[in-house]
Order: sequence, then structure tokens, then C-alpha cells
Amino acid sequence: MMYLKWILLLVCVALTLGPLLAGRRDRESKGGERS
Amino acid sequence: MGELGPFALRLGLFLSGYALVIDLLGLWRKRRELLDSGRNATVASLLCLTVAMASLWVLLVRGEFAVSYVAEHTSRTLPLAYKITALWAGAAGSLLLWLWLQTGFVVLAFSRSCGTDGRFGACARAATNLVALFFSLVLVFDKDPFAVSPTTPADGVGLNPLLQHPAMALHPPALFVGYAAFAIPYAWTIAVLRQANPSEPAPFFARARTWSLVAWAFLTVGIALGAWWAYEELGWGGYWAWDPVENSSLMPWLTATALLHCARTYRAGTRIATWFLVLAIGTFGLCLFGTFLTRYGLVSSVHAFPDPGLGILFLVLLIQIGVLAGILFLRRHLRREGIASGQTSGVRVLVWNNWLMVLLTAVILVGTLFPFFSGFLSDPPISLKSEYFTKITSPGGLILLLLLGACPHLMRRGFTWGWRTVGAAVTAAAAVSIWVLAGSPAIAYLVTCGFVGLSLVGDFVARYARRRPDTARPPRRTTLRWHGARVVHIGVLMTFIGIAGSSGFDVEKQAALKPGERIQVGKFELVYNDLKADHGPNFTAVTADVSVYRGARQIDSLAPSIAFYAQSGQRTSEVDIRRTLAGDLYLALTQADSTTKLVNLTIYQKPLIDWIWIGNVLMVLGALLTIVAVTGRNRSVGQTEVVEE
Repeated sequence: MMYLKWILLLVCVALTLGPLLAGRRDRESKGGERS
Repeated sequence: MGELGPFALRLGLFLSGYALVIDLLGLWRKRRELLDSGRNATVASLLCLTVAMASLWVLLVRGEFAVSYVAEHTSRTLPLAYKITALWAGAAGSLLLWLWLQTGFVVLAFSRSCGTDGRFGACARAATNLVALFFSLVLVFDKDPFAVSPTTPADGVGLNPLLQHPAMALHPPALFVGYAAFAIPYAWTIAVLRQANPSEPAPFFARARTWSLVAWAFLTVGIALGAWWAYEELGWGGYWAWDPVENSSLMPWLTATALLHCARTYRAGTRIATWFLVLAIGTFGLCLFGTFLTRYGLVSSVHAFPDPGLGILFLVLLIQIGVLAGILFLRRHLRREGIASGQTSGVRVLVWNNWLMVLLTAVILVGTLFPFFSGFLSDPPISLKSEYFTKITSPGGLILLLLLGACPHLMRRGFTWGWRTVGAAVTAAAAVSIWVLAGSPAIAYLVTCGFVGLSLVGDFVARYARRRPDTARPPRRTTLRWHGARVVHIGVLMTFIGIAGSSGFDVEKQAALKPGERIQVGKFELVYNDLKADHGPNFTAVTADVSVYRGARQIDSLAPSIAFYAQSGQRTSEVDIRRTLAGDLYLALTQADSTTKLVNLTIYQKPLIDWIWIGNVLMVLGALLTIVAVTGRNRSVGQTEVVEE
């Protein structure tokens, strides 16, 4: 049962933090283009 | 499963809190990635709640009595179907189901393409995540469905035998689907109120309208199933007792009916738009208030499930929503530059209809809360009998029925002298005279039903028989919507006919009979033949064999029984009913002596009562037709529809 808890936690973390990381990457790449 | 469920529930709590904060932060900072994260957190929270629900189901079906909720609501002998439905048999499970449904609906309504910047959807999600966060806090810290008891019992308490009925298995989830779906128009309203300009067209109105329809349809199903269960299971021949719990589902139904009528002519910046916004918040507030009322035990109810702790928490949530909506309304009021006129006579009729619905709701609310307020002045508190509600709501019901006959025409054409306007005036005069002079509200109702029936036939004749051949056919969706509304109105008419017939012309008789004895009830003669013993998976029963004669011919045989549930020590009366469209013959076995075979029977004749159930089915079918019509139109218009009719 333990691994099910970890899978659930991992999926939720990926779902919630994914857009934040993607946004940061986008901003960094735009910043790079500008420079 | 014992560990996965609580973990998923706690993770769900964290995620709803995170989604609320990150959505508000995204709205403030106007950052897209924050809003996307908030949207995904809501989806993740739905995933967690789904896992928690599935875990609880597994525990219930496997009979893990170490978990208190499982031990309190199931037992080894309980049939599998009722082990599954035990999920909503208690407060914790019901709240989990409501939360799961609400989160699912929010994901469906506000997590996909909510405009280019996604801010409208984020605001709507934040409004519902506030409620979700509150529900989750209650579930984790107060009503944990996964709480483990210190000692594991050998068997569970089982489900109350009265609740072991197919209608009661489906009644709570239907109500909860309705309550949860009303969160969508509420959330949409909060997002609209946040808009800077009150006259700005409201985006995604179609979603609010569709979800209002879905919620109304399910609430109708829930109320109808509850009434049907009371009629079939409680053995008193009635279906509605004006109990606080029943009233708490009827009040949002009334305001939601007004809401749907407003949705038909919604236009941003008009008086009807304000009505829609107020009714959307009011309806969802009444859903929460109903739960507060029944759980807090503010007023005594035959539905004995008060839980003061949970009730007070609901009151806190209700105050929060009230304050939030109040501030947003005030802000909007200060910013607006006057209401757009749009006050045609049709709209005026609609506003009357709304006021009447709100007045009826207020009257029911006052009556329901009366015992609580009277407690300050008298000891014991004064409870209002069902006669109060019947007397006070009957005139309102009659006016509503009259409007049902006249309104569709008046809304289209305004005040013009035609057969409907004259008919409505004549019917009103006739109904009042019959009520006052003959003292028969049932006949007054049936006369008004006759006018409404004619008016509905007139609608169909005008649409089909009188249409000129050169007139272009209306689009299929418009046709479907027109028929949906008419089917709902026919359903409401049939329900009124059933209520008037069954309450105005019913007969009740009680008889103590020995085998072979007969009794005359109206046109029927009943012969009590014998008393037989019977048994089921978790009960034993005695059943009276009764033959029904009409003249010399036997037309039916009925078998009312009394069931004994050894585990809970409860006994229930299982009625038997001979159903016809003209009326029911309803037999309840109230007492039976297995040695002397002497039985006490209560016999009811309920004219036209089945029209209520048929009417309820038609109301739901009509609502489904309208949902199909409006969702089809939404798709054809596009996802980013802005309604400015």
C-alpha cells in the first residue's frame, strides 16, 4: 500500500509544480533571448 | 486501504488550500503559471478525493469494522448493495461524497479553456475551493470517515432498516449531486461580481445555466425519491410532512426554479441579471443552510441525525460566503451606472414569479425556524404543525399554478387581451370563489389545473396546427428547448393534480380483522385471508394475505407485512399498494398476532396520487431535454461564449 501513497503524492506534486517550473523556464528562455 | 484513504484525504485538504492560495495569488499578480498551477492542484485534489472515496468503499464492502464509520453503518448480514450505499449513510461519508462531486464539477466547468488569461476560471475555482477547503478541514479534523475505533467489534451496527429501500439508496446521492452542482452557478456569480464593470457581458454564462439545470434536475430527482420513499416505507399514507429536513431541500428547489426562469432572459446589467446573481448565491447558500439545519439539530426533526459540532461549522462557512457575496455586491453597486431598462411586461411577469418563489421560500424558512425562535419566549418551544405550512403555502401554490398557465404567453407577448389573459382572470375568480364559498381548496386547484392544461394545449396548437406553411422551421435546438420547457410544465401540472387529488379526496380507515373477515372501503371490498411467516437475509416478517374485490370479482391481492430486524431490534411496516391512474389502494399492517392471527390494518384510498410520480418523471425528462438543447448550442457557439442575448 505504501507505494500507492508515493505514486499519488508524486502525481500530485508533478501536476501542481509542473506549470510553475514551465513558467520559470519560459521566463528564463525569454530573458535569454532578450539578452 | 486503511492507510491510503486517510493519506489521500489529507493530501486533498492540502491541495484545496494550495489551489485557493495560488489562484488568489495568480489573480493578484496576474501570472499565468500560478493560475495553471491552481487549476492542476484542483485536478490533483479531485484525484485524491477519488482515491479516498474508493478506499472507503473497499473498507465498507470488506466489512473492516475497525474503522468506526464501517462499524456504525454496515454489518455482516447487510446486502452488498446497501454496503455500497452506506458510503452516504452517515455525515462523514455524505460530506466526502458532496466534496468529491463538487470538486469534479468544478474541474469540468472551470478547468478547461476559461478565456485567454484564465482569470475568470481561477476566481470561480477560488470561490469553490474555499468551500472545499472548509469541507476537507471538517473531514480531517472533526468527521474523519477513516477514524479507527480503539476496539474492533465482531460485527457492525448495520443500516437502519427504514433506509434499506432502493429509493433511499439513491435519494441522498441525487440530492448531493444537486447541491454540489449549485456550486457552479455560485462560483460563476462570484467571478462575475469580481468584474470591474457591472454592465460588461458575463463570460461563460452558458456553463452557469447548464449546471443550474443539471442541479435542478437532480434536486428534483432527490426530492421525488425522498417523497416516494416516505410514501412506500413509512406506512402513513403520506409523502410530505413539512419536516425541517424536507423543507431544507424544497427551499433551494424553489429559488433554483426562479433562477432557471431568469437564465432564460439573462442579459448583463439588467434587473434580471441581478436576480440571477442573487438567486445563484442564495440557492447554494440554502443548500449549505439546509445541511446546517439538519446537522446542528436547531429544530427537531424525524430525520434524527443532529450533530451540533458539524452544524456550527456550516454556519461559519455560510457567514463567510454571505460576507464575501455582500462585499462584492456592494462594490458592484457602487460602481454601476444604473440598471439597463429592458423592463418589458414579459420581464415584469418574470419578476413577479421570482418574488412569489422567494416569498414561498421565506414563509417555509420562517415556519421551519419558528420552533428555534419560539424557544426564547416559551418552554418547550412551539413547533408548527404541517397544517401551518399547508395553509400558508396553498394560496401561493395556487397563484404559482395560475402563473404557469398565463406566464409563458405573457412573457412572449406582454399584456394583451387574449383567451389566456381572460381565462386566467376567470379561473382566478372561480378558484377563489370555490375556495372561500365551498371551502374546498382541492377543487379550486383542480379548476386551475384545467386552465393550465388548456393553456399548454393552446401552446402546442399554436406551434403546430396554426403554423403557416411558408414559415421557416426554427432550429432543432430551439425546438428541443421549447419542448423541454413544455414537458417540465406538464410535469408540474400533473404533480399539482396529484397533490390536489390525493390530499383533497383521500379516505382513511382502520380495521381489526380475523381471518375470513371483510371490510368495505369506497368501491372496494377487502377480505383478510391469512397471516403468513416469511424471512429475508437479515429480517423475519409476518405477511397478511388480503384479497381485493370490486363487486363479486376479485381484482387484486395485497400482502402488507411487518418486518423484524433482529440485529437492531427494529420493526418496520412494509406496505402493499394497488396502483392505478385513478388512485391507489394503500394497505399498512400496523399490528399482527401470529397465534390468534388477528391483524390491525390501516387502509388509505389516495386518488390521483400516481400523477405526482409521473409528473416528477416528466419534470426530470423535460429538464434533460433542455440540458441537451443548451449544451448542444454551447458547443456550436464555441467554448468562449459570451452571452448577451
